[in-house]
Amino acid sequence: MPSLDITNFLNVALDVQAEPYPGVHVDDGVILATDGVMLVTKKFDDKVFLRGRGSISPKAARVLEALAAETWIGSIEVSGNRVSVTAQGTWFDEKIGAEMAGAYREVTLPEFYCPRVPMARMLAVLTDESRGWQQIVENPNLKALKEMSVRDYVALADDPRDGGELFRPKADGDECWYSVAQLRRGLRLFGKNSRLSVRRNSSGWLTFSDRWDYTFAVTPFVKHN
Amino acid sequence: MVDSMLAQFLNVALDIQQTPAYAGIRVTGGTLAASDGVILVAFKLNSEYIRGEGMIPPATARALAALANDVYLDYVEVDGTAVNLVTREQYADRSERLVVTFPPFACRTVRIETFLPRCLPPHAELVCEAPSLKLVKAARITDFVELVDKPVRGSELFQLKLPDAKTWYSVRQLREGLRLFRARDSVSVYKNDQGWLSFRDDWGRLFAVTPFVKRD
Repeated sequence: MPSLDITNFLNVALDVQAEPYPGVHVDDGVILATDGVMLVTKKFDDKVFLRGRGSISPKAARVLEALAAETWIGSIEVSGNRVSVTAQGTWFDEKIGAEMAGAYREVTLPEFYCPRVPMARMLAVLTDESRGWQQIVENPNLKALKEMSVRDYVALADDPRDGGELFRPKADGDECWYSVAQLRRGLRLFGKNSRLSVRRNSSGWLTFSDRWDYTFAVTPFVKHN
Repeated sequence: MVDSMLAQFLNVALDIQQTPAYAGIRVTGGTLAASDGVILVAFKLNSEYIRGEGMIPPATARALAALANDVYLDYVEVDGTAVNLVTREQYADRSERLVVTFPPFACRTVRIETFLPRCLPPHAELVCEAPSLKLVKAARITDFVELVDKPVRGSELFQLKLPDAKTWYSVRQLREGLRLFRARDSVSVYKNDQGWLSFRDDWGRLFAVTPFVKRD
């Protein structure tokens, strides 16, 4: 059985991560990837599942993604750039004609250099009250994003309401706006029926989060006078 | 060594082995082979480098393909569907041996190697050395091609299928398998009595494709 939660996270994280912050970063049960403009993160309450502190290089993350897409991952341990996972083997029972779960085995991946990022500082920015974070809407409608071209830009709707459309096409006078391409890439983190909570800070940063502790944050394009 | 040829083979093989009945990459006697029942790719390597016998499940093959390009491989050991990758981690002052142990995953054994002798002499005859394959690149992916009458080195191997062709080949399938070779690789082409066409290079890589046959 594939580990869908970690597979999906790694898939989006590998797409989002880029210089100057390559890789997927782990600290204290939190996994994070960013390119400096977008950020995706997931907090695991199970301290055994995701352990340690360090950075998983894109190469190791791809291997991890391939394993997680195939089988159940029991735990992931990160120490610097060293990644070890326990993966459950499977075997085919010819008598029953079905795939059976086997034993867990520890897989230690080669160490690939990947620089650390200041994760604690990045995460603190997303909750720092001095930055004027406000919840703006619960469970918004994001249909406009799906219908628009990836080259389009959107701004927040004037008065977003719970269940109502969150974005409208960018207008000339808008002070800040967002890329549809970036929003679409990050929002792949969430399931189709996820109930999202949207917050915004005074600089126009947006965060989307769900009850499973997945968060996607994106910074806006800002009008400079 | 960092093995980009192995990584490239695994990537092509992973694309080909997607039919459930043929899932995985077969390993035996130092040879890797994958098929979808219609086309086949194989890579003959040293049996000290690719050790053991069994199947590399798709997930392990994906992981292996990702690693082969970036780590110094000592050897790969296959036992059933379990795979061990023995690598050497390079540090500034030392190198350390690391065994990456992938658990066994469900993957049925398909003895693809039994098809290999049918693709090579004496069961197949040499058609041409180092032919030009420009038409395969230029044709549409939905086109079909047949062998030209007497292909010679450096000239075109295929022509577009004519209505009275007895055997012909899919451009899509040819393109899929020929990705195994690099642009300047020189390949030898063989054909057996059933019309199977095989492309082989000096590095031990082989791609074979079965034809479409006219039924009277």
